[in-house]
Amino acid sequence: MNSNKTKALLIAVGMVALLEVLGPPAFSQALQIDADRQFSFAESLFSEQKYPSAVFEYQRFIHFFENDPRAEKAMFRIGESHFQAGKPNEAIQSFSELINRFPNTTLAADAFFQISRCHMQRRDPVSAEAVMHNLISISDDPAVIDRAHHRLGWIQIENGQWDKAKSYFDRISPENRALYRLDDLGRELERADALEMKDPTTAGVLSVVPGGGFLYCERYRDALVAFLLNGALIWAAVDSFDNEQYALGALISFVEFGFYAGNIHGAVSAAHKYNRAKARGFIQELKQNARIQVSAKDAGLGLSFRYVF
Amino acid sequence: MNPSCSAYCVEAIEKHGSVAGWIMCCDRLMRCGRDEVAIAPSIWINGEKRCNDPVSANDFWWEDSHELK
Repeated sequence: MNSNKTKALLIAVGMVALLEVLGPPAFSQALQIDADRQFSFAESLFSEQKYPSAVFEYQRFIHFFENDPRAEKAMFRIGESHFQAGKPNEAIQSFSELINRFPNTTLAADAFFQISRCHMQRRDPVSAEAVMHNLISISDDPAVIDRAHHRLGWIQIENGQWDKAKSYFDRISPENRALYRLDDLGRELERADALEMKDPTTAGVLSVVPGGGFLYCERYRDALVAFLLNGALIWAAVDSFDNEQYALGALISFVEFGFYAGNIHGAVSAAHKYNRAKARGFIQELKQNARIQVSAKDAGLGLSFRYVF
Repeated sequence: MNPSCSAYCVEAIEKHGSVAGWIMCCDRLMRCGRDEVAIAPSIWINGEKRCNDPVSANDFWWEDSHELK
């Protein structure tokens, strides 16, 4: 028994000695990730447009290396990633956190513009405008203020408010007018007044004769249907009352009320749709003609934007 | 057209009440399949191209007529 125990002990000691000689197993070696590797990894995910993963890795970078000079850039990238992933609310929150943590930096100013852009994506031009006004009130940098006025002008253009747009562009300092090609833009905006629009009130008044409003709005088939249908129903109602079929006449009159009022509503709506389509077409053309492309790069570049609302 | 006329009418009545909804419904029935098809944007549904004409495309001007929406 004692010899068996001794043998087992000797075998165990021998195995331990053998392991020491061979070295530790691979899985016991810890993987060292430093700030450079973590940030680089996050950047590669961002450039590959893997935005949810990029967000996670930038957050990991900020968590472990919060005092690294690139923490601000990482926060900005998180916002950009959320925006690119179609999550404007999360993007706004991220950019807001950046502004709170790093106020008065160049990236903080860029964050304001990104927040405005997020609001436009959410179809909330009022909030987009408000953000720009906030930036103008707190910024001392004339270049940033000019850029904000330029953005405000384009927000008004998107709203079809040409005169308001012109008033914002007029506030841009003379030294930046060439940069924003404001002379060209001004000439293009002059054409807005000459856009052929339809008057909804006129369309409504002309619809007193069924189909008249649709005809005014260049909807010829709708005009014909409205005229024939309303004409037939009016004739049927009158004929019913003439034949003392009052219940039938009342029923037809009720139906005719809907179609007659519908003819007026449809014509007024058609005029508004016509005007909206004209304005949108003009805005698209304006963007094409006045396109200014500058790629958004690192802090300090300034005045880098691309108008893609 | 998308939505169908019946779905459009139900939505219009639910959103704007029986009177205004009925008027919008009659308007839609007169326009269905005519000039709107050439004017309104298209949408693909189950492999079919349809003209997109929801209630929101016909009452956007009710709220604020001077803003481009």
